[in-house]
Amino acid sequence: MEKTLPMPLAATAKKINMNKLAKHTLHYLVLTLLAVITVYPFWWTLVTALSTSGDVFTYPPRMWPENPGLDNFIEVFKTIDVIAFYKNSIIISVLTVAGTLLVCSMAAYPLARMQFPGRNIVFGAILATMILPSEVNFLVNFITVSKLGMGDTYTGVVLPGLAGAVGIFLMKQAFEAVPNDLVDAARVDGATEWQIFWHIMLPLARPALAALTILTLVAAWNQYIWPSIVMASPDKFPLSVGVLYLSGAFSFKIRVVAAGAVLTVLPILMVFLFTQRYFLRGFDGAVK
Amino acid sequence: MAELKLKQIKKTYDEGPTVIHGVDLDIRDGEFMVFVGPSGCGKSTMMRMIAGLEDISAGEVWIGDTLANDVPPAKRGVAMVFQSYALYPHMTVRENMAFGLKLAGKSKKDIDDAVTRASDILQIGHLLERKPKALSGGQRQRVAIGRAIVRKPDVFLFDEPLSNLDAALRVQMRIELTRLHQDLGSTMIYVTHDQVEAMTMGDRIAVFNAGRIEQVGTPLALYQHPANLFVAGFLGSPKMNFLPVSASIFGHSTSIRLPGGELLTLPGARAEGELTLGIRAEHLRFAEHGVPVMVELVEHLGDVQIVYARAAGQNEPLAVKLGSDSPAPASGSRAWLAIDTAQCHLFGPDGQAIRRTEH
Repeated sequence: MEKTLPMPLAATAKKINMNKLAKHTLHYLVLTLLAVITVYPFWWTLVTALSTSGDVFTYPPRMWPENPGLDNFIEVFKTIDVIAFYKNSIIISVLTVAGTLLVCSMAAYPLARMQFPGRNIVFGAILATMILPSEVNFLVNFITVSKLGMGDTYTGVVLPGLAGAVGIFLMKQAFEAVPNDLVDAARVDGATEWQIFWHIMLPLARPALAALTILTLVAAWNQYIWPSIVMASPDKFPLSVGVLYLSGAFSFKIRVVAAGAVLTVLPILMVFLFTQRYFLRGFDGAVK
Repeated sequence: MAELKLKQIKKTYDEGPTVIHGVDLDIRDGEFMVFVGPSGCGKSTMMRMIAGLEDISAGEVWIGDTLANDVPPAKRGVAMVFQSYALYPHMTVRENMAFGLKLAGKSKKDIDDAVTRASDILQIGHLLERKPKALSGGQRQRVAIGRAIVRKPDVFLFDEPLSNLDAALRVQMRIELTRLHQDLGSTMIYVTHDQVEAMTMGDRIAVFNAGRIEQVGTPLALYQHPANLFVAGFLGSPKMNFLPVSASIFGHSTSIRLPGGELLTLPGARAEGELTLGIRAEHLRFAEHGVPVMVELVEHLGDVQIVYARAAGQNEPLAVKLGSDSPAPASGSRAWLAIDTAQCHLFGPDGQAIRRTEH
């Protein structure tokens, strides 16, 4: 037999349920609105790239492509050497990710695990760089890179960004979360500082390393201004820079540029989709 | 195997207090030495200094014939088992046990032999390919001990290794550790705050308090002849009963007046003034006359009964241990306690025991 609640209790339960429902509805409305605002520019770009006719700037804007086709994408491949640009993007991204993981974790380890005078000052100074916009660095970095003879090289593009405050912060948090006893056990087992770092700390910081990989990959893949400053030869441009060739001085085919933009973001979007749980977990750890 | 000598060991933190105040201790080759004491008494710090995980502020640690103060942990010939087990979570049991040997550059065959031998001793052969998170608490404990055994250390250090286990497993592991000590014959130092572990496992016990060793000796010697109030109160369950008394010398005996005015004569003791009388629960019994008390609570523990009874004017009830078949007075009733004067302890105003001559 079904139990019935006494009237006042049932009424309260109902009220709580209604409150919950109203709250959830509000949450979802707000989240949906935010999602639409965030996603719409991408959607518009995709619609524009896939349409083969009609006015680009109609108002209200189109939600679905008109005469959908891949003509614009084919034109992108005809106009620029997409494969070469992809290759450059991959080289720059891989070098940046590998370098960032190495430099940031090695910088974070002593900050997290060693006692030395001025440790907090050093960490504070590193954190302070977070409030500077990256454009501030361009001038100094450009002079440095040029003087080192690294202008127009992949190294020149990659090197200045390797030691980032976000990465050091993320790795420091991860190293601090490793129980002290493990380090002591390794020390009794005969591990040197480097071996503790390599055999114990790094494997245990894997979630943070994964998060940093994705963060760095997205940033490296999408960077535009810095590589266009350092790189002089067009055949070394990454895709994000090379795609600008689609809008020449005298021709401006907005659908083709949109197709180029889609080709640029597509790989990174795929990577992100498959790895977002690491991405979120890494941040989770950093916030706690 | 090695003997271990601690000479005037001190530990002071940079901006903090001194936590170890000049500890002297000789630990014999092959001995099972237990460091026992309440939380924060410095016993774990002392062990970490022996392991080389903490700097020694002053004094000398000798392991065998080597002054070990500046020797790195791995070169001291010690192995340590941590309270948290400290197994490397990303390595299998085999890798955990092999890690130290691998770092020492041992050959694969030597490593395999050592791991097999240790896993046979501890019966964890079937767990070798598992990760620590797939093991129970007791299994993790064994692996942690196995990791220590493979290194064939001169000195084993155990830092409260059983405190994360449930009661039944703790008893079992206690027996196994004692057996392991008999089999290996190595010097072992064992830190615990559990007096039962201390009493049952140690060849000798060092009782720590506030960064000092209060007394060192065999479990029975410490139990029967505590050097001071702290040791007397720390070892034994229920803890020793203490009563403030005034004493006066009377020939070869001391006459003491209990708080309620009753007089006792302690043969073989010569002391006077305001003292503390210590008497263990098993040396009190209910009688027709004696110290009048009000019975507050009777605990039946199966094999024994503990009766808590309060004497007039006392804050702490006296604990009386009775056999399970002895008749115990009911809670709330009045009764009289007889004191076995031959088993009484007397402590001076400074807390030190007053020696009694044989009587």
